Amino acid sequence: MALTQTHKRVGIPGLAACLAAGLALALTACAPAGSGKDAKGDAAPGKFVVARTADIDQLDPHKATAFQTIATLGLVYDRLVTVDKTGRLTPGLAEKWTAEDGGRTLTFTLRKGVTWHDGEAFDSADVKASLDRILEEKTGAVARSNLTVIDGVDTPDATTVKLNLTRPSTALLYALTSVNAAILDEADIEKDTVGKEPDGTGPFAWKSWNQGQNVTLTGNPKYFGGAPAIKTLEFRTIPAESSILAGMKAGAFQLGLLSDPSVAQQATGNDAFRLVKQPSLAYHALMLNGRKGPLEERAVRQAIACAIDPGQVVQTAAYGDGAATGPITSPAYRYSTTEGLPCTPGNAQQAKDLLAQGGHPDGVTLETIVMTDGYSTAVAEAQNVQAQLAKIGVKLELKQLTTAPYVKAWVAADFDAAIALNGGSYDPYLMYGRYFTDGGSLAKAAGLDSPKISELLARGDEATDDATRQATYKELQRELLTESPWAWMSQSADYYLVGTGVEGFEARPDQALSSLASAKNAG
Amino acid sequence: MIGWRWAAARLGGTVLTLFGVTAVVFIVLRLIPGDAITAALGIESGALTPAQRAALEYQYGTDRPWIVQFADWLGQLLRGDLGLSLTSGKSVGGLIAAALPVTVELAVLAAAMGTVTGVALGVLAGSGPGRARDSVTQGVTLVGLAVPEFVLGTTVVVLLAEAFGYFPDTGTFVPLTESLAGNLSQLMYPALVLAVGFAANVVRATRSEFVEIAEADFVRTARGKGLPAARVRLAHILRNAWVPIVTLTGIQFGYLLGGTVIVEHVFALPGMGRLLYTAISDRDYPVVQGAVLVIAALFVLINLATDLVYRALDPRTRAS
Repeated sequence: MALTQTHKRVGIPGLAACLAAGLALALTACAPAGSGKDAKGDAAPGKFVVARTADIDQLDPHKATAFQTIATLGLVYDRLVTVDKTGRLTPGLAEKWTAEDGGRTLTFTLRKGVTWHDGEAFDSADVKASLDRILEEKTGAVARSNLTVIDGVDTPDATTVKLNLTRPSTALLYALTSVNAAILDEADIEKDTVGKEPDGTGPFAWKSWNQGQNVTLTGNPKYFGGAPAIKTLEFRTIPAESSILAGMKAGAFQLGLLSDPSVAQQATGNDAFRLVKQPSLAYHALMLNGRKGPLEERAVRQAIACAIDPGQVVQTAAYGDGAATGPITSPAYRYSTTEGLPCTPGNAQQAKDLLAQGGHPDGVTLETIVMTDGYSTAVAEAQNVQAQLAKIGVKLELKQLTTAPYVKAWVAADFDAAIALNGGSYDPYLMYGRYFTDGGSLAKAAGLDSPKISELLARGDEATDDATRQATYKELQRELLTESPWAWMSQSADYYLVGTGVEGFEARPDQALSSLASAKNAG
Repeated sequence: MIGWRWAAARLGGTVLTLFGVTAVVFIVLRLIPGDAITAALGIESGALTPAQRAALEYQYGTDRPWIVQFADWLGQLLRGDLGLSLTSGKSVGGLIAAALPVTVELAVLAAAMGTVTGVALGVLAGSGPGRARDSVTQGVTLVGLAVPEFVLGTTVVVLLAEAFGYFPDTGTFVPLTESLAGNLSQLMYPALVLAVGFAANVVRATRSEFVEIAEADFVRTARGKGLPAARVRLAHILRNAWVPIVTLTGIQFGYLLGGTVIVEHVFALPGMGRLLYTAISDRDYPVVQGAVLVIAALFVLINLATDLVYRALDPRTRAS
């Protein structure tokens, strides 16, 4: 018995200790000394690594909708016109453009000497082939509905493109700045290689795509805007934002893209990077279906808009990151965010009065759809709005859905209210034309028919001078707030973790990463 | 010896199982709300004209009746072709070939660490039931079972970054054949996270078997013959405890092949879990079908291997 006890003390615990020590040794062998680099030492000179949560989903710029795809392909493909971060139109592949015939003809003069990444020369035939491809219904191009004002494309010579329009349209120029209106090589369209082998004229050329892992681009030494300092640009997919933050702390990436405010809150006080908070053109809103039940009453919609204090929503759901906004988020069109509302937002008594005025003094119940997997703050926003509206007797029955059923219900207008994060635009017509004009492609989901709003949008789009556009869109904002088809809450915020050695990177409201063309890593 | 009748029955069962899994996945995928167009375009899908939608449905191959789609897919499968991804246009076989080694290696590493550690700690606890080492081991085991993988994984990633200034890079997966150090630096930490829960289950199974068998007559006889305690434990008790441990390990390993999605997410590993998760989100039907088929086939193979080991370890099962 004594012998047994001796063996027990020495044998079994000893075996376990040896195993534990072996495991620890194995781990220690794999653990690095604090190198400040990742496992492969990717801090190679000229290489710039951007970490983001999702991979690109396709290679055709005319069909892309995912942010990461648009941001990536936007560095490979150019557009006729570009837009700066303030919303001002600037030359792209077209060095200048003029409007004639009362704005019904737009003539673009193309840059000379531009070449595709495969070495072929760029000319007006490429522009015509690209625009025709977008307008062809079979393509399934996302930008088609914004370009249908184009009646025909003429190419009098290799550097001139004339667009014949059915009516004057300022929004068209902004639509042409979209990656969805990228100019493709006519030869690629004919060979049907678009979406398979990216070939653009942009600052970076396509190199490789390891699906789910990374996309690698190389600097285009012949880029008309000057060769990028970044020779190799890698977009790495790191699905968890907390892991992106950890990687930035370890110096594994030069730029990290975040959207979750709770993670961004932890990204302070580190010497390896700085946190940049950029208000986005996108906005958070409670969309109301004004074609159903009590919401047909304008006063009820106004009551809901008045009962919500956007500041509370932002504080609760986004840790205070995000400014209250009206309908128009473009920096070029800044107007009062409350003028037009018959109240001060957050004033419960005024909201109750409006509810009574709308014939529902005891409140209403609204089935409200919420997307649970689209963005991080949706559910928290919904719960805060629910609590605020409960004070005036408006009961939100939250229906939490994943993206696919949410989109299905949203497109079919099968909801009373919807917590939404909608993409914005530098141009007000592009933001709301498809929702609130007669025959707008998303008019059903918008939930309101207003001839006045439709007329204001058309007038603003057709205006050829800035003063008229400003006056018209100011009136549009006021009218949208008065009609309250939706309750606008706040502008979204994007977060960028910028490595300490990075110079020249500039965050933009439209989430474009175009400044990488002039950025460098001096660290 | 493996009987022909047994082998034929298992083979038939395998084919039926895989066909059933394939059919169920095919149907369920199409019953859940949303399709590839909605997934790709989001709310923009509401702005499509009927002609645009029809063109996209044709492009995705979703304009044909389900039965035709299923028959086409089965036909392709019999020719060894899993089709093309609806979103990227890449070969599904190629995507799986790239992702599978990551998950298999991760599962093997986790299972190896989990089994070795779990058996050792299980023997440690089972050899002194009620003693301090038993209580401590059981407490640790409980924590191992209770802490979710995403918490443990995130903690490991954050600790590595804060303490060592290190991030386990997975920019491009380094195969084992290319670089042992590079490969292990990518997989060791996620495997360790998976091994914690794996080991906890093995500890519990090992301990309970060990305690039960330690009371058996043949063990008392062995002790009565004066055999050293370590030999009694390893050669008599542990040897007889292997059968349920092997069974548990096999089942857990099978689950690991399809259940590494959270760890792959946290550590950014391009394995089967992430491939499948992304494909489901994108309603990328061919990728989901192909990935599920491969995972199901592996699960069946592992069960088969477990049965074979079981038969080798316990002669009574051979007779039956």
